[in-house]
Amino acid sequence: MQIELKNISYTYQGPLPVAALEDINLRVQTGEILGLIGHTGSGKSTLLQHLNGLIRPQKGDVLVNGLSVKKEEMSLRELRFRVGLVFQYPEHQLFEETIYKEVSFGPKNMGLSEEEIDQRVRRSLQDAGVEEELYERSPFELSGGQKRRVALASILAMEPEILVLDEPTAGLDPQGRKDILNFLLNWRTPERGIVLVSHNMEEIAPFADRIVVLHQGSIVQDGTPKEVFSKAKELAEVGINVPQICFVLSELKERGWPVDTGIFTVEEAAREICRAFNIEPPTTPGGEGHGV
Amino acid sequence: MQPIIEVKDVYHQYGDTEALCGVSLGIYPGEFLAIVGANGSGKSTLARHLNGLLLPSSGEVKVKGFSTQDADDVWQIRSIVGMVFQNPDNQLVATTVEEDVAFGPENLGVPSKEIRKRVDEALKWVNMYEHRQRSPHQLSGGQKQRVAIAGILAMHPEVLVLDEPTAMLDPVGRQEVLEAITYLNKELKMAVVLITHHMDEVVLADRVVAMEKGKIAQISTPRELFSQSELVERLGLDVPQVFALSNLLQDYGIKIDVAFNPIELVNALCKLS
Repeated sequence: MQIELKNISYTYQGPLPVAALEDINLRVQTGEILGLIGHTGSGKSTLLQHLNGLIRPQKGDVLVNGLSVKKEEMSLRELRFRVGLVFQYPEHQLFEETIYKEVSFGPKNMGLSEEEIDQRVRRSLQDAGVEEELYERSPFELSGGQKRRVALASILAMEPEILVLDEPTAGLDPQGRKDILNFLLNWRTPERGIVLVSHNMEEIAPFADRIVVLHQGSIVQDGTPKEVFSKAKELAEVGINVPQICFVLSELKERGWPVDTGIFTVEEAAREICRAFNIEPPTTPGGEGHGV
Repeated sequence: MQPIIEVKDVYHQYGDTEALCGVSLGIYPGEFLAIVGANGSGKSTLARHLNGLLLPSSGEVKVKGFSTQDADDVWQIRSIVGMVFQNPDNQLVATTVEEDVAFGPENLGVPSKEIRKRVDEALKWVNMYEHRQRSPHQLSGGQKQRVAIAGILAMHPEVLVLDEPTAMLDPVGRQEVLEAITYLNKELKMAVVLITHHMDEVVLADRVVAMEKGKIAQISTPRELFSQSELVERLGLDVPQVFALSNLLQDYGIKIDVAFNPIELVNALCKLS
């Protein structure tokens, strides 16, 4: 599946119209993990809502496998089933009496059989790391981290082809963050893709295949993490920091050390620094997963 | 030195779950204390005991000698220990920033001339004075959170307890809030208790309390905590990247001090040659 945003502009109407997006061209496809970075007010949420048909294009078009949303060759309803959007604040998304009902809402709407619904609900809750004894509890009794998992499960149960997540790890503890990211890495297949919004550069750099930086409604960077994060200066101009490790390496390079700046894991960075300083690092690559 | 808050062997149960099991802790004037731990380790439950929002099932919390169990002293206690939560939207009540900040001292019965003074002062401390006439809903997340902090400061607390105040903010908002907190602690010598999942915020603290399953696993400096990689992993925590990198470089035989901040590390490396 491929979604193409073509010359998308969007303005929120009102007494003071606000231009949220200006002439966005972006292709999102299955098989890829796309990291989207941008500050509050950069137009991120508006962009995400175009991807799953929550917003009808005002100017420009959204093409899903070549079919136009504007010309209604692709219905918004179908797009919403095929692209799952997990909001940043799970409170905005949860509404049912029990967790089980919450997660079955989507598949029910898709008109699936009882049996299929039950299977999907259980599998998604398990995948998202929600314990079985919670299934009959109200989603509102949960902690922030658990709510987030339920919100994720409720989207997974619709078995989307592309999963769009807005800050899925905010408010989670470090272990919880790792769990979610590892789950997402395993979830992604050649037939499934991910769009992830994050403020955490250390987290997104080793995780994404491609990074897009949005600033004041326009795309200012689009490339591999290596390409994008080697531009520390340009990113700083739009108020975005590079991961700490990239910063260290860029700064060393600036001061004349011959180091590669496109490195995101502690392990690799340590080896790179040793190499530049002509020190022999230990031969066995450490098994610790510092990256994600 | 006498602690302002004394937590003595506190247990707390929610239904069947034991959220705190025998926690003892002193919080001292002017210190910056961080509390870390996995989700569900009891951090927030502990924080809510510090000003009597929650009461111990057994044990005792004393604030300058007042017990939180004594209903008559609860307002006294809350004027000494102020609390800021994760979501600023749930904490702002008035139609302008300055009215919001005045809300607390008004309720304490502070004379109006004194309120004016406290509001202006508190807004300056968090660098929000120029926004005093604006409506809270026009503000960014970081600005809202700083107004929430100012509202607490206007009550002149001696301890400021913040429960994940940056969790819902973007990097700019987070930085603004951290700068405000650092200013209050360093310049005004206010005691700060910061509950956080962000390890690079823990680095700012003098002491860090690591919680595990309702108990205190360790109280130490941030440096001591992050040096114990096994403990860090067991508690579901993380080590700031630069700290991990400098540790690894040490292991590889590069003679540098362990660093918390990228520039510190770069300078140390450049000095080697």
